[in-house]
Amino acid sequence: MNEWQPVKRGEQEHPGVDERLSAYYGPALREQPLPFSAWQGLRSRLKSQNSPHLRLHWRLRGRHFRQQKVVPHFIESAFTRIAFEARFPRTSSSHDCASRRCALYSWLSVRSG
Amino acid sequence: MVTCEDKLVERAARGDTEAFRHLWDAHHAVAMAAAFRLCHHHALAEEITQGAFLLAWRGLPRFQIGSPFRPWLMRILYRHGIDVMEKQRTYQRPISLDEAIEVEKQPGSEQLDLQEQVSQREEIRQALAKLKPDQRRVIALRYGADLTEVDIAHVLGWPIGTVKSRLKRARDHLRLLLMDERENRDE
Repeated sequence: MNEWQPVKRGEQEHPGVDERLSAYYGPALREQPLPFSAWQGLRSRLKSQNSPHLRLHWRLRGRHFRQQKVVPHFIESAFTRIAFEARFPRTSSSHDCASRRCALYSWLSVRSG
Repeated sequence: MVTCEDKLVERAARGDTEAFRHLWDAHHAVAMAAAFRLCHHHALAEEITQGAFLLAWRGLPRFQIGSPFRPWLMRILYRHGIDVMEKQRTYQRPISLDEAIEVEKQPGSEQLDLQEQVSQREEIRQALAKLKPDQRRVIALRYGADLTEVDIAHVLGWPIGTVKSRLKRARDHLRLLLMDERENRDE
């Protein structure tokens, strides 16, 4: 799609519809230059955002931090110890739980049950 | 071979607004003409053009240096334009006299009686409003942008078979709608 080739009109399958749609949209138009204020409006919108380069940088940085563990090590080791002492099986889902309280509740429900 | 435009794109991708202004200067008038032809409304066409450039600015880090800028920009413009038109339900709004005058001012437009022109365009507008959004999208790109089925598939990210079937169904549906309209008028 490097060149935009105009399609030959008048496919005879739908002659009436083709003609009427072509008339509705009209022929290709000449260039329509906009006043300088249009660029100024756009530029203010560009500036309200970071540059694309910076945005990509922050997105990658965000991904890096998301991949890092957010729970401090001492809390994780405490949970591991509690689960071990209670003979509660360590499952991957209990580690994936975002707020870790889920693991505690599930452990308590096992204990009480 | 690295062209001058490639250098501008590279600089703009690093956040250089001055380089992006040169790209705007070189391409916005063509983009505006294409947007106006799609929506027939000057203010909306300007909004679509600016929106397309904004999307292009955001997408510049993913732009493949060495490939031509304008076809990439036009793909963004067409996709954005038809999305905006669907969101703003432009097909639901009756054609105003101002809009008809704006269209008539364009060189090459049919020199019909203004009232007759409004009436004919209004008939098509009402028929388009009854189509499904995806059918309207293919019709707009086919007749309002003169794209081939392959190009439409590229712009919308649909398989070519889907484009062909939706285009055929849209034309069949439109033909029925326009025939009904004509019969109702003749009665």
